[in-house]
Formats: sequence, C-alpha cells, structure tokens
Amino acid sequence: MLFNSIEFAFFLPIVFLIYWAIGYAHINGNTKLRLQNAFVLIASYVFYGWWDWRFLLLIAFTSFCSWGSGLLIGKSVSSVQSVDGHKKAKFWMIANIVLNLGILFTFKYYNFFIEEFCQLFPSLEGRSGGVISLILPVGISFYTFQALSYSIDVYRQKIEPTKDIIAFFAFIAFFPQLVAGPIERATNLLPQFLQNRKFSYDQATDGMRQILWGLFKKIVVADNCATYVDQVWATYDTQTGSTLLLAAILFTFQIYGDFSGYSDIAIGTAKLFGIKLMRNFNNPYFSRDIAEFWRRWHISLTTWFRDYVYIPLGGSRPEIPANIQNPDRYKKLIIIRNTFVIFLLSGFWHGANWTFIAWGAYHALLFLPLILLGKNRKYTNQVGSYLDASGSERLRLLPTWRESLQILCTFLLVVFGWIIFRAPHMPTLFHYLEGMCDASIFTIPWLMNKGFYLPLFSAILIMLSIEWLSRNNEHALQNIECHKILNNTFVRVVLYALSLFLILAFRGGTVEFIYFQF
Amino acid sequence: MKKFITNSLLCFCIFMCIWCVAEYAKEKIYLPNAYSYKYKHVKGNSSIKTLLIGHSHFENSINPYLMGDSIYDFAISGRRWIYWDVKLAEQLLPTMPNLKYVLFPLGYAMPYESPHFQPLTDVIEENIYQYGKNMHVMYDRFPENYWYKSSLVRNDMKIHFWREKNQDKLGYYKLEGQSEECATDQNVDSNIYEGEVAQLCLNEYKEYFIQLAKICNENNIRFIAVTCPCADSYIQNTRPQGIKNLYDLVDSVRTYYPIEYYNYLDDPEFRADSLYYNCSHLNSIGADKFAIRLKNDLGL
Repeated sequence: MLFNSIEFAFFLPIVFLIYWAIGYAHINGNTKLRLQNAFVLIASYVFYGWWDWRFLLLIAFTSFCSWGSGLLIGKSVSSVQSVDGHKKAKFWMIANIVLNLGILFTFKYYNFFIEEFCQLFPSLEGRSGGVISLILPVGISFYTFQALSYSIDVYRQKIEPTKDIIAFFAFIAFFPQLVAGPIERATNLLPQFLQNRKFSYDQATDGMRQILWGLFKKIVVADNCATYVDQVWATYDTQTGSTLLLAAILFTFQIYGDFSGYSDIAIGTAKLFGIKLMRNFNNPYFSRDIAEFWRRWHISLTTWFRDYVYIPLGGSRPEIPANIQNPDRYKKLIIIRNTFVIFLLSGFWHGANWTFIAWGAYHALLFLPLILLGKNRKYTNQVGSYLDASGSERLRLLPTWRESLQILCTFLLVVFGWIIFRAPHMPTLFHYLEGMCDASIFTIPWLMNKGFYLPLFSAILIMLSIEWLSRNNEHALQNIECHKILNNTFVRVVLYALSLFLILAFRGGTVEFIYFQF
Repeated sequence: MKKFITNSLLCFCIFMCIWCVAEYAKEKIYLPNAYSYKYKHVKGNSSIKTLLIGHSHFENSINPYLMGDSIYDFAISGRRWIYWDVKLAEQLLPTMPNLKYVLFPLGYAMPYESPHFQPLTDVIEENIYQYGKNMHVMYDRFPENYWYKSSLVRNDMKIHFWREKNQDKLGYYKLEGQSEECATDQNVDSNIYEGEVAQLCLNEYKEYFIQLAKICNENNIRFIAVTCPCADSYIQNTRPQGIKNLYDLVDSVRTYYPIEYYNYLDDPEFRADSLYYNCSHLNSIGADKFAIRLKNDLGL
C-alpha cells in the first residue's frame, strides 16, 4: 500500500479511529497497551501484505529470530557475569547478525554476485547454479537494519531485552516506517511500545501538517520531476547536454522530494498514533559542505552506519598500537579505510549495482579531505544564522554571499553524485556524462511544455522557500499557527483543505517511492 | 480527540466543497482549446473548400498555408479512434456548402485501435471527454459513470485550467526540430495487425471508413485518403501484410463509393531524418515539403 494511494486514504482513518477507540476504552492499562500493540501489528501486516502476503512470513521470521536472540543475549549477559556469559551473548548477537544479513544477502545481493562471478570467469557460466528468481521484499533493508540494531544494543546493554513479543513485532513492523524508514533504533522506538500512549491534540495536528507537507513534496515535486527525468533517461543518447543537466538537477529534487516526503508522511503518521520517530532529513540541500550534507541526508541510515560500523572500526580516532612507528600516518590510513568502508557499504546498501558502489566511493572521495583536515564538523550551526549580542542564535532572511556560494558548490557536487546513483549501469553513466559534457550544454534545454514546467518550477521554488524559512523547525509546517494570519483555527483548516486540493490537482503521475526498491 | 476529529471533518468538508466548485467550474467556464476552437471555426463555414480531418499526422505533418486558399486543418493530435471523424463528418459536412475535398490520414497503425475491443486508455478517456464537451459528439459506452468521473481523480484537472490560448487560424500545429523521444516510443509494433482483437478492430475501422466515404459522397465531396511519410526507423517495423491491409481497406470502400488513395509511407523524397519530429510525424520542414507535394499530386 502506498502512502499516496486511495487505499491508504481509507486505511489510515480507520486504523486511527480503532486504535484510539482502544486507547479510550475503559479497560486495564496493560490490557489496553497490549491490545493497541496487537492492533498496530495487525494493521502493519495488512499494510505490508498489501504488496505480497508472502513477504509477511519473512518479516515475521526476522522479527522472531531477533526477538529470540535478544532474550538469549540478555540472559547470557545478565545471568553469568563472566567471560563465558559475554562470549555466549556475543555468539547470539553474531548469529542474529549472520542470519539477518544472510536473508538480506540472499534476496538482494545473491544474483548480483553470481552474475559478477560468471562475468569474471566466463567458463563457469552455466555450472554455477545460476541466478535464482526472487522478488525483492519491499523494505527488507530497512527492517533488517532495525532488527540488527536491537540485538546489538541489547548486547551493548543499551536496552533491556523485551519479553513482550507483540510489542517487539510491532516495533519491527510499525507500518509508517516499515518500508522506507526512518530506520529506528530500538532504544528510541521500542520503549514507546512498552508504555501507555495518550492522544495529544498538538502532536496529532502537527503530524497532519507534516503529512500534508510530505504529500506536497512527494506527489507534486517528486512525481512531476519523475515525468521529465524518466523521459530523459529513457532517451539520454538523443538529448542535448543542457537537457541532461536539467534532468540531473530535477532528479536531485525528485529523490529529495520522494524520500524526505516519504519520511515526513511516515513521521507525521506515527505522531497520529502518539509515537515519535527520529528525524530523517534536515534540509540537506542547504548544506555548506559534503560533511554537513551527510549530517542532514538520510540521517537514520548515516547514524546507523556511524554507530554500528564506523565507530567500532575506530572512526576518526582509532586506537594506535604501541609498536606503530609512524602513528600519524597509521591514523590517517585507518581514517581513510573507515571512511571508504562506510561510504561503500552505504552505497551497496542501496542495491546490488556498481553504480551505487561508485556513488558511495564518489562521496567518500569528497568527504575524505574534510575529515583528514579535521574540517568535517566545521558547519554544525544552522545555515544563515548569526549570534546576537546575548549570544543566542538568530536566523537571517537570506544566506550570506559566501554561504550561497558554498551551498551552490555543495549542491552541484551532490547533483553529480545523483547522476551516478540514477544510472542503471556504468556504461550508461559514462554515456550520460559524455552527452552532458558537450557543447550543447549551452543550448536551451527541452522543457516539455509551459503547462508542465511552470507549475513544476514553481513547486520546487515553494518547497525550497518554505523549507529555508522554517529551517530551524523539524518540518516545514511546524508551528505555523504562530504566524499572525494563521493563528485562527478556521483559517488554518481552510488553508489545509485548499492546499490538499492544490496538491492533488497538480500531482504528477503515480510513481512508487524510489526507496521502496532498497 | 473530539476537537481533532471535528477539525478533521471540517477540513474534509471544505476540501469536498473546493473539489465540487472546481469540477463545476471546469465544466462551466469556457476555456478555449483546440477542440472547441476548431469546432466553432468549421461549423457552418462557407469559405472552406478543403478540410483536413483525422489525427496528428495531419495536424502536425501538413502545413496548410502552403496548400492553397480555403483550406482548414481540422485534425486533432491524440485522436485515437475513427469514430470521432465519422460523427463529426455527419454533423458538420452538411453545414459547409462550399466544401470540395476531405483529406483523411490512413495511418499504418490506426486501424487496430478501438475502445470497443481494447481497454480504455487515458487518451481515449480524454477523447471521450473533449469530443463530448467541446465538439458535441457523445460516446455512450459509459453513460452511467463517465461524465461524473472526476477530473481530480483522473488527474487532469491542471490540464483543463492550463490551455494554450493561441490557436492557429488554419488549425495547424507546428512541430519544431526533433523530438526528444524520437525513434523510440513512437515506434510501431511490427505485428500490430495480428490476432483476433486486431482483426475485430480492423473490421470496425472498415465499417467506419465506408461510412465516412458515404457521408462525403452524399455531400458531393471528394474523399481522399493519404498515408503520411514515416521515418526509416518506423518503416523498418512495418510489414507487407500491414501495408496490404491499407490497400484492402481502400478497395473495400471503392466497391461502394469513390475514393482516392495516396501512400507516401516510404516515399523516397521523405527519407531524410531531418524532416521528422519523431519517427511518425514530420517536423515543420517536413510539413512544408509534404504540403507542397500533396498540393501538386492532388491538383488542389
């Protein structure tokens, strides 16, 4: 079921009403909580099974194994305060990681490796067992990582293992974020399933506003961009350089509108159920350098890799063995290795394709100079901000010239990265780049027609302007009631209805969320 | 919770009101487009002597300004079914006292399309809507639900409020340069005429084609069918049987009514790719060249 489908428009209010009907029922608090969690689980499985009910078996299996391993890890860690206990805990944690990654590998990467292997050794073709016909379960990378974070956090004793199987299953399958994140940590989401939730008007209205903004980004910006981008990519060999460049820029907005739109809808929907999910995007296209971009783009995945891969590998402050003669050089090599590892893994996480790996490597190359020079945390303040006399942060209406230039440069670097990401294969990528770096880049690009490009460019401008003005907020429409004109509830309600109508009237063709394939 | 549900319901009601007003406005406000403009121009027009009808092959691929006086290009891009031509001819030809020639595009792929035997596509839905609203040709296959089917649901609301306002005075829609999707998505399926459904479509096409000839004959109008030139990438996919079907169609009409037929599909004069917008449509250069050629061949 897609968030932007008619089915979801019926599904959500029904689930919402039943969920809170249970919440307001005159029953014992614990029973109420269990019933609510059970209902969330059923609703989530209906939502997920809408694609293909067979996927449910897989997610149930993953959930059960992770839940069981959590209990075993917890038992080993707490019952025997000895080396043996830790060894056992480590064993169960590794077993769960191997199992989950094994499933992920089989569904997502097996065919890729077989094909690459056969290409490397053509004589083996036909004898290798060959590729297998498997459908990639929607959102497998997301819920697998969520399940992994649980067992690792239990092992690290950051969270107590839960015995409540229903709550755990609901945590893994919670429908707003099941198929495309944010990849939640057990430390944040699981405790919310273990305590009673109360309806909050402010939280729910904020959630609705976030859903509205997410819908705008997805179905107006991203889907309309997709119309252009898909046509250009389908016929890239006949396009002018300027058209290819415009398609690359529009894909940059498409992927942002698509994925951050999804995240907004997911976070907003969760708020309707009294659950707070982590933020996944923080205006990444206003970043002043690549390091800042990565702190603002797909935050849940970036921090996942940081916490579970990068830091365990030593991060940017690796331990230096005593026998090392040149510690500085050693440290740099470890930093380079670690940076490449997380970026390549991040690229590979997106799919079994060399283009994703190349995309990861490209970003690693952009990131390395910053981390080696110790400038990767240079921009941690809000863009376009200054400190007033009292020392508190204030926002400027516009960025400074220097910031504008930095934002533009970072944006163009990111655009280039998205070309690599969007290319279906490496040869196509090279042809696309060849076509783009042509004298025809100085011609006027193909724009379809006025009825297409005027609304699209206006929508992109509206998105950027509103996000710029509300860059200090969690989402673009947060706290809009603070504005003078909008502090009347009726005015706001009319505005929401009108916005919803305009969003639907100017929507593009129905396109699946890009990140569903990951 | 009560406040939240009340406000949500209020928002929903206001949304429904806006939706209804927009749908009503879309029906009631006159927004000129190619359909309405062409229909109004042609109806009862006594100055037109030559009328080009049909689909994009004529709307885009012939420059009427180079075909002599008193010509009008009544063809509409996106017209996917001969039914509309027949019904419009029935309605309009008797109102045009000085009409001498009707030119009809007999495309290679067109005889194999019919909503009677194939699923209703978006283009056909748009045809049903536009021909119904702006040209007063109703199609009653879905009388119970079609006209109430919302523009918002069909995702064409923005199209209705965003029309090109300037219409060419001879109905010509020029295609400049080469299409970005040239030689790919406009290509014809080589085996388009095969199968039971294709045969049903072809038979239906034949019936309508005969009706069109009959209407012209009854109104003393010379009926001329023309197959427009296509690019090499298109011709590569055509098959002798498909071409033969075109001639058979013309022959089947000839047993009842007079008809002239000119086939330029692979004419040597139109082989250069520079003449094409995409593989089945001439661009403005090609349209100029084709108009002059057609004028000479037909003796207009």
